Parts: sequence; structure tokens; C-alpha cells
Amino acid sequence: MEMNTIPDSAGAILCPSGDVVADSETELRRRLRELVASGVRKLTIDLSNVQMMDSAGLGLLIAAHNSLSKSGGELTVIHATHDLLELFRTMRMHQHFSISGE
Amino acid sequence: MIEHDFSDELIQDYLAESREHLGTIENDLLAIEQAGSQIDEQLVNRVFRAAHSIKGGAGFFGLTVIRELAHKTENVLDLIRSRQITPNSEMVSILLLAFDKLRELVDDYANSNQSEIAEFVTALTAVATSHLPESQRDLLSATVALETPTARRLIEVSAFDLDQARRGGKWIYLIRYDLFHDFDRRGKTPLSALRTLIKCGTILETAIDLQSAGSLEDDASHQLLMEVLYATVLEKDIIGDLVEVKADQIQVIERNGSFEPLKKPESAVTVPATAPEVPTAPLPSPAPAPPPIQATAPQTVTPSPTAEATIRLNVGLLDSLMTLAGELVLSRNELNEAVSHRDHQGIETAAHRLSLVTSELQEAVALTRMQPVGTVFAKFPRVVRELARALGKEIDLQMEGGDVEVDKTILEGLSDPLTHMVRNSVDHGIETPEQRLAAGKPVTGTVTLSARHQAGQVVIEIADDGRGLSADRVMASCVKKGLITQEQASVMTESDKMALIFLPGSSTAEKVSDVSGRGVGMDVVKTNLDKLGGKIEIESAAGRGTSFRIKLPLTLAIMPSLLVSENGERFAIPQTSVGELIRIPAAQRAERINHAGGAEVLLLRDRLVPLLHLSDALEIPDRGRAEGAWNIVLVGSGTFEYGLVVEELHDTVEIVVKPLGRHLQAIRDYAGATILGDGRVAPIIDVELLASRAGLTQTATTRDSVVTTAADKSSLLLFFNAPSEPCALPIELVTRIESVEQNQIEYLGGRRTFQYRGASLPLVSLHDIASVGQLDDSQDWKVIIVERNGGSFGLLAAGPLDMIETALSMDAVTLRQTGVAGSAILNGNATLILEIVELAETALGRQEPPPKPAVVPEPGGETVARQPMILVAEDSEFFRKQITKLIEAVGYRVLPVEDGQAAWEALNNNSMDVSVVVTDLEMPRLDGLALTRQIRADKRFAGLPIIALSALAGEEEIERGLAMGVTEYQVKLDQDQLLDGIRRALQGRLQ
Repeated sequence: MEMNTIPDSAGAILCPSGDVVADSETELRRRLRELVASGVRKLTIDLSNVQMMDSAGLGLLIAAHNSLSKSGGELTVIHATHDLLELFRTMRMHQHFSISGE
Repeated sequence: MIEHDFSDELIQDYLAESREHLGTIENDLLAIEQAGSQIDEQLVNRVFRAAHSIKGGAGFFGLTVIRELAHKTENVLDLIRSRQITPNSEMVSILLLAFDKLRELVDDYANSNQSEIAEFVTALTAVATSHLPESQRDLLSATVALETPTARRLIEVSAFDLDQARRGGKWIYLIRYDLFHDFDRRGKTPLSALRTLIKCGTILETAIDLQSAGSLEDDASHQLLMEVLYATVLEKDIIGDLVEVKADQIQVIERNGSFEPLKKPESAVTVPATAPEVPTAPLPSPAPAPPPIQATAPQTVTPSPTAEATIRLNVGLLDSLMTLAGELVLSRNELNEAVSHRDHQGIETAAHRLSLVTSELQEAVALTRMQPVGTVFAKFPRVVRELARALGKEIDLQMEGGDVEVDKTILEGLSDPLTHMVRNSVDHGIETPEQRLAAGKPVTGTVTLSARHQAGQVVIEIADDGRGLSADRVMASCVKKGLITQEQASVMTESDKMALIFLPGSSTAEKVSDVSGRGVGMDVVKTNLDKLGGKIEIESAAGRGTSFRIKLPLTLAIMPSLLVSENGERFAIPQTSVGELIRIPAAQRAERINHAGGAEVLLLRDRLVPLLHLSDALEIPDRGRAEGAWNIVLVGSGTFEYGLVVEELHDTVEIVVKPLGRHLQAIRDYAGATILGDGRVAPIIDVELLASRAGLTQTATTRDSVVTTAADKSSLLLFFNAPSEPCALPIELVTRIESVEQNQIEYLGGRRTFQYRGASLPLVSLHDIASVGQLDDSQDWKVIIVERNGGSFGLLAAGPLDMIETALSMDAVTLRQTGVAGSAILNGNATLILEIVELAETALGRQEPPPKPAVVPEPGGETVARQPMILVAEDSEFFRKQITKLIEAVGYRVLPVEDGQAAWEALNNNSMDVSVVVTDLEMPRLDGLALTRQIRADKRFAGLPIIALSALAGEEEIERGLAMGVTEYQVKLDQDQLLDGIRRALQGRLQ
């Protein structure tokens, strides 16, 4: 899978493409871990290119949120598709970190 | 708090009126939704006016919040009325919610001004501007923290949603998911799985266990726990199928709404006083101290008590209450007057009058409790609508008879069972549109809910035109579950099998399809109805639908009825059974009335209607049938119709049905009785039963053969003749039971005997005199020893033995033969009730002269007519026959009558002839004690011995009996003691 990391003044934006599912989870987790380890505190995940997410993907988002909040950072999810937004809202994930749509 | 500077009465009026408006709005709104763009202006107007008058009153009383909300709904309704917007289901839902909120505000009007209605206002405003951005709706709610039994933390729920769920008669579940396990491994994406839920209900709240996901540093945890608080109309087993999780992951949190009226959600909802758990902005500063409910969860807490506090009454009823109260005062004055003058006659009169007025008053007050069934029906359109939506079915709910009134208590008890059954019909009865199409039925299924008065009962019917209930599948399922045995199943009738769905275990069907869906909690329905004294019947045709009929024998039901009279007695015929009234003048009789096969038929327009004379049917003397015009009441109900010829027709009156007393229930022509304005009793005619007795309907034969004895409890000994021939005998007749080996039976002089206490006991088996099976070698043989007239004999029988106490209801026709008095269903088996006198005759031989009656010098030489006559008054046919045979067997004459009144008449007709009276105590018309009193009061019968028999033998009873003039008191039924008593009495009389 492709991933673009755009350094940003406040932190980093990760822009995975393809689905965030069990298959891609390991790779994405590695990247996120690196970013957090490198001191990024404000991490944004741009879901523009993500159509689908399974439990592994959701778990990963939450794991990222958990790691970041432990170190005083925060997670932001942007450009979620309509479907993903519905999923996040249903699961009340917006209560934990900031989520916005396309 | 609002200032209560207005009169409390006024506001109560306003509240009652508002509630009335709100009560009808729901159904009107649903109708508006159905009509869609075909706007029914009248309907919309009605709702509009309701909203308008609520608003108006609220303005007057300074209930600003109510006014505002009513105003907003009015706006939307106005737009619909003027066709600027087209009602759709979204819009109607919002209106429904808004009116729900209004109702709640009205119920708690005193605090209504503190209530938060922003979300409703936003939603209504959005409707009014015809677009409702989703994002806005998401923010709509205040929250309530719900403490789930297992949750690690409180779950915060939108108060709005929770309230909605409670109102809609929904179940609230907590479903625990492990997303990996429950979604991914089952090949579902989280979104699709959640969407399934959304389709069938409302996700009130979800809570993810963040910790279960671990952090980035960990390896992927492969676990993500989530709890979903879910509201739906579906029941638990269906939910299990739907969400595909293990049963223990689903927990029922509440089964509110329809099952319990809205009430304080006690432990379920806690509102944290200092709300650390409550997130999201729109919490307008929760008060730190009680009452904490207002800001966060005003919706659920207070309504029900206030809703019940006032009740609307018919003015006429109120007037009659006033009149009665006036009469009460008059009677009291009269009594005071009489007391002060020590006027005994006057006191008696006044007391009598007082008691009369009091009972009338009591009745009138009871009437104030009558409520239309419609109040329970009203919630069903919504339940059906939501359930049908969730299940993807198209269902039309028809309701009839909402104005039928029943007692409030009964109504309250009805709510649960009805809800359950309506759900069942929608859930399992009606098929999916595809299935219906395939079966060639209209896509839209119909569920019909109707209430009507029928012969003094209220009949509520829930019918659907769905797939029907397969009796065999119900049975097979019950056999499989071990609820019944294969043998039991094999003798069951179709209706018995269907009735199995009421068995407690049949409801635990893991798969709904097991019993073609039905049976989910039907045992609970049955239990509830039993408590109300109701009966339930099922009728089902495969592929055509099922109907459940609930019959409530109301202690208090109002029924318009036609009064008729015959030979000076008045009778009431329920108006619902009356078709038309016809008068045939004598001159026209020949041409209008024909005779067909010995029966009279009336030529009515193009039909032939059978005729039945009330006097014939009731076996009362007929006056002037030959001359004069005939008055005919055309009665019937759908399946049958006939003309009832009565002597006179009177008014139609509203009567209050009284149940017949216990002893009168054996009289089957009457459905009850009523007390008329002049204080006289008029029996209510059950036209259907009357017809079947007279052989006018098909059910005549079956109904007629069933003889119901009065509800005297008898103890019966159960045993077997041949292996599958259960038999029974009243235990009083049995002296002893001995086990016997077949080789112990001796044959002496062609008769079987058995050594018992040093003597040869004659033995008889039922097979000897009746055409029944023979005892089998494999059985466990017993000898039932019976003493008769000083002699004993043994009845050969087989175990296992059992005892049962039952109100014996014996069919004295179908299986009657020598030695068999009849049959009854005992412990679920058709059981032969043996005729002991006939058995004794066989065993002891007819040639044996009965022991000589003490006072008859030479019985052989006497003509029967000279022997003493014993009058036997007993309402139970079974006991009457027993006693008659018993007494006849010792050579006396017996005059058997069925109650005290008949006994009195018989005494008068044979005044000098009767030597002893044997009377039961509990009897219809005139009971044993009253009979005794009459006899004792009449000089003609001075010294006539009276032996009272009763199953009830409390000491008090006995004393009362003796005080009344009973000669001897006996417990029913010791035969020898009775015969001894009669002999003693005859001797005493002789002296």
C-alpha cells in the first residue's frame, strides 16, 4: 500500500491509500509507530483515499489515539468518506478524537 | 415554577382536554403519513386544531414551553395543510416525537417551563424549511447516563432517543461485541453489521472499550470490544438471529413501553448529580441538587402518576351519582326519624331502602371505572408501523370496536397480552412481501384488532391473514422438547395441539421457525389472561392466517340490550345479537310462516329464517301463541340467524352484566343476568347457546351432550379397567382398596369371590356389565371394596391409582351405558365415571331384596305408591342420580328435583306425600337453607324431617343449618350415613 506522510508545522499527516484492513494493518501500524516515536504529537490521518475499514483498521485508529493521548498528543481524522463517517459516528468515535468528512 | 394564580380546576380541565387531544393525534398522524401527498384536509385540520388548542390554553396559563412546542408543530401542520410540504415518514416521525414531548410536558406541566425542547424546535423548524441537515440532528440531544449491569462505565444515551424507545414499546438491549470475532470473522464489515442493526431499530449508544485496542507499541490486539445499547421492537430470540452473536452477549436492559406503563426508570437511569460523565454541550446547567431530572431526563420520570390522576366522566353518569347520593341522604333521614321514634317497622323499611340505594351507588361508582378499549388499542398503529418497517413487511392494521368499554383494571391487565399478540402476528404471522407474492396473496398483510360485546363477555380478537399456525408442527416441536409424550400427542385434537403454544416450555424455541414462529412467550399471555379470568381461543388455517380470540367474562360490562318478556318474565338480548324486529299479525301468519320438516320458518324477504319460541326453548308456559300477533326478534351473529318468537318486546336499555352465581352457571341458556331499573333480575339470553340447544345450529349435538354439573368439588379415585381405559369413582363410595393376585380369586357358584376379612367378597368387573375392555394379566390388579346397604362387594380394577379433586363436569350422554354413569376429562384423559348402584346390583344380585326399610311393614306386599317418598333436592345431576339410585335401591320412592325452588313447588304439589326432604345446600334459585326456612314457616309441613347435605361443612355452617331447622346435617356423600339418616328420620316421624 502507498502512504504519503506530509510533514506539517503541527505534526504529520498520514495519507494511506487503499483500504485500511487487516492486510494493510501491520504496515500502517509500523508507520504510525515510527511517527509517534519520532516525536509527532499532532497526527492527522487523511482518509481521502480510503474506501473501507474493518475491525483491524478501527482497532489501529484507536491504538493510535491511545498512544498519542498517552504522550499528550492528539489524533485527527479528516476526509472520511460518507460511509466511514457513518461508521465512526455510529461507533461514537468522534467522542474520542476529531473526525471530519470529505 | 409557574405561578398558580389561576384556579386549579381550570388547569385540570385544560390538561384533561389536552390529553384527550394528544390521545387521538398519534393515529391521525399515522393516517396522514399513509395518505402521503393525498392530503386529507379534515384529518390534518383535526391535528392542527388539537395543536392549536393546546397552544391556546398553554398561553393562557403561562406554560411557555408547551406553547412554543405546540406552536412549532402547528407551523408544520399548517404547511402540510396548505400543501407546501408533503408529509413523509421522516416528517411524521418528528411530529410524533414532538407530540410525545408535548404529552410529557402536559403531564408534568408544573415543571414544563424548565424543560429543554431545543432539539424538537430545531427539528420542527428544519421540517418547516423542508430540509433537515443530518449534522444538526446528531447534535439534538441531551443525555442520560445509563448504568448497564456489566458496563465498566456508564453509557451515556441521548435522552431523546431513550425516551423514544421507551414510548414505542421497544425492548432495550445491551449487545456486547468483539468486533474481530463478531464482524470480521463472519465476513461482515463493521459498517454493514451496524447498518443491519440500524435497519431494525435504533442504536441508542455505542461505547468502544478503548483499552481493548491496545496502543501502537503493542502488536495488533485482534480484539476490539464494543457495547451497543440498542432499542428495537424485536424480541430477543429474533435479535439473536439478526446480529449473530451468542445469546449471552445480548442482555435485555428494559422491556418498557408497552409492557409496563412509563414509569420511573429506577435503577436503569441514573443522572449523575455532578455530571462528569455527561459530555457534549447542550446540557443546560444541571442542577446540583434534586430534582435532578429536569435538565437531563425530564422525559421519562414523572408522567404516569399525573396521567392517571384525572379521568373524564360522562355527565349522565355523574348526574345519576348525584341522584343516588341524594337518595342516600333521604334514606338516612328516614332512618334517623324511625330510630328516634323507635319505630321498628320504619327502621326496617329504611334499612332496606338504604341497602338498595347503597348497592346502586356502588354500581354507579363502578361504572366510572369503565374505559374504552380504544385507549389500549391506540398504541398499536405505531407498534405495528415500526415493527413492520424493521422487518421489511407491509402491514395494514385494522381496528374495530375501540369504543367497547371494559373495566379499567381489566383494561390495564390487557395491555401486555395484547401487545404481545399483536407483535406475534406482525413478527411471525404475516409473511414477507416476497413470500406473500409467491403465495398469491396481496403484498400488504392485514392484522385486525377488534373488540366487541358478545353475550355478556368482551371478545377481543387479533387476527392476521398470514401463514397460519400448523397444529402438527406445534405438536411435533413440543414432543421434541419433551413437553408432551408421543402418546399424549396421538390423542390430541387439532385445537388441543394448537393450544400447546401456551405451554410454558414451548416459548423457549431457539429458532423461531420451530413452531412456525408462534409461541414466543405465549405462556405469559395465557397466565396474564387467566388472572383476568379470560379465555383464549386459537383458530388457524394454514396459509390463510390465524386469529386469537380473547374472551373476558366481565364482572362489569355495559351492554345495550333489548328487553323482551315471556309469560311475565323479562329477558335481555344483547343488542349486538339483534338484527331486526318483526311483527307478524295473526292474519298474515299463514302466509309468512311455513312449516318445514316439523319446524317453523319465517319467510323474510327472500330468505327462510328458522323460528324458535322462547317459551319452548326455556320450557316455560306459553300464553296466547295461537291468537294475536307474533313478535319476532331476528337474532344471529354471522354464522347463524334465527327468529326468536317472544311474547312482548320492550325497550332497548343499557344494562350492566352480572355474572351468574356459581350454581346458576350450569344453566347454559343465559350469559349472565342484569338488574333492571325496578330492581328485578333479567337473565341475559345467549342466543347462540339457545339456538344450539334447540338444534338450530350445527354445534347443537356436541354442545347438548355435555352436562355440566355445578361446580361442586368432588374427590375422585382414578384407576384403570383395561390398560387404556381410565375410570373414576367418587372416593366417598370406596371403603378400602386391596391388592390382589389373580390366583387369589375364587370362583364360587359361577361368581368370582375374594377372601376378605374372613369372608367371601363378591367381585365384579366393569366388563361384566358394560361393553368395555377386560383387565389384562400384565396389569397390577386391585380390588376396590365398596359397602352397600350393609353388604360389601369388590370392584376389580387395575393400578396405577390416583386421586384427583375436581369440579366434576360429566358428559352423561356419550358414553353412558350400564355400569357407566358417563365420562369426564380428568387429567387430560377421557375417563369413565362408574355407576356404583348398577355395579352393586350385578355384584350383589338383583334377587337380593333390599334391606327392609324400617317403617314399611311389608315391602313385598305393599304397592310402591304406599312407600315413603323422599324429596331429593340437588343441583348436581351426578349427585342427584347417585342419591336417587341409592334411596330407590332400599325401596323408597324418590322425588328428585334440581333446586330449592323446584323442591318447594314439588312439596306444594305433593304436600302430604313427602316423608323426608334431603337437600343440598348450595343450589340455584332457592338454596337449601332458604328452602328449610320456607318449610319451617309453613304449618302444613310441621315436623317434616330435613336432611341437609353439603360439601361445605364448617361448624358455623352446621350451626346455622341446625338453627334454621335442619333436622340432620351430613357431609356429602356418605351413602350409609344418608340411608341411616333417612331411616332415623322416618322413624322419628312415625313416633
